[in-house]
Amino acid sequence: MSDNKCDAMKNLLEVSFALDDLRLFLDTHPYEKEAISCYQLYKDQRNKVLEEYEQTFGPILSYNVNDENQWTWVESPWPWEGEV
Amino acid sequence: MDIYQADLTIVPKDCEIQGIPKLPCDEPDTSELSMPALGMAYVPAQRFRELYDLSTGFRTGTIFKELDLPFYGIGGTLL
Amino acid sequence: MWSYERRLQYPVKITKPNPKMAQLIISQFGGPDGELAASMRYLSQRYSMPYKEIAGLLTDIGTEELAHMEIISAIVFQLTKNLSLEEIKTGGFDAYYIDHTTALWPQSAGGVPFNACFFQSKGDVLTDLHEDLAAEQKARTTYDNILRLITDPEIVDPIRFLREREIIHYQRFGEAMVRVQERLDSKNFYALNPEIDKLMVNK
Repeated sequence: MSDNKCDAMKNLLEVSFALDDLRLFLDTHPYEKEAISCYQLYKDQRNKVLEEYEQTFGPILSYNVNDENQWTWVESPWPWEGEV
Repeated sequence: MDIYQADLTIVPKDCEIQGIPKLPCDEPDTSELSMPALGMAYVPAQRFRELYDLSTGFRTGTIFKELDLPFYGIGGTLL
Repeated sequence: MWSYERRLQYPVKITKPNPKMAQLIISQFGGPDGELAASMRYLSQRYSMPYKEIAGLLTDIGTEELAHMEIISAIVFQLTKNLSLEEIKTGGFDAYYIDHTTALWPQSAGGVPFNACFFQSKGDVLTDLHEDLAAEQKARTTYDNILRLITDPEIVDPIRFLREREIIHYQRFGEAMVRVQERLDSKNFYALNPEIDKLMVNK
């Protein structure tokens, strides 16, 4: 597991989590403009981080599997195995 | 009793509700309910302020500093 | 409505097996105040919730609890990896091992199998939200109890994260309840159950 992959995954986890926490806040504060702006900011950041991760290290979503010769989605370590 | 009364009307239960109503708690100037009512629980609404940076928020378990309420019990909890 | 991303919400990297702790932590998987119970509670209550943003909140928190169930399961799995027979015999894990080897099976630390009696979906807006507030406190207390017994930082880290999430969820359910109260008659919140009686909407 290279450091680059660890760092990229860490970035993805952190920005995704911020969005998770913001989402719950927005569910109970649907008219809070500042929170909505913050969400948009993190959303753009996450899209960028996700795209970079998937291009270099493989898909995070099963809708983005690119290999054409073999179904590789099931191949790599599953997240509960503790290798990431 | 000094309790805010929302501007409401009663409708049959299968009436279509369009959108999310703007409630008194959505108004920025209503800091708190003037007085919580008898026989009912009340948790004040959080304001959007004091956010942690991404890294700190992630490790803590929330991006909101005001809700960072760690456990100090015995047994090596805060390392 | 569910697709998944190939990542845990919070990483779990445990290098030292500990079957004794696994036997206790499994309560947050299949126990009465665990993540599976929380998830089923909220995902069941959401259908009859007449206020859209609260149905949304129940869906979002119910989904997050499934992700937490995965984290707990990953912890238990990693704590019971590559056990020797000696570790199984003396680790306080032997009874579970007889019925399940090292597989994950939802039960409480005391051995009570997961069942729907662990939660309620009562169909009254205020009642269900009170149930949810209580559920988050019970989960937090369970995590407090776990934290008192562990010193290994690899286990403390995700447990601490999960505990903080319970506090946030409690706050959100409290805010949801304010949003309900502000739609009802504050002179008598209990006059109606909006899930089956008439609804209050803003003019």
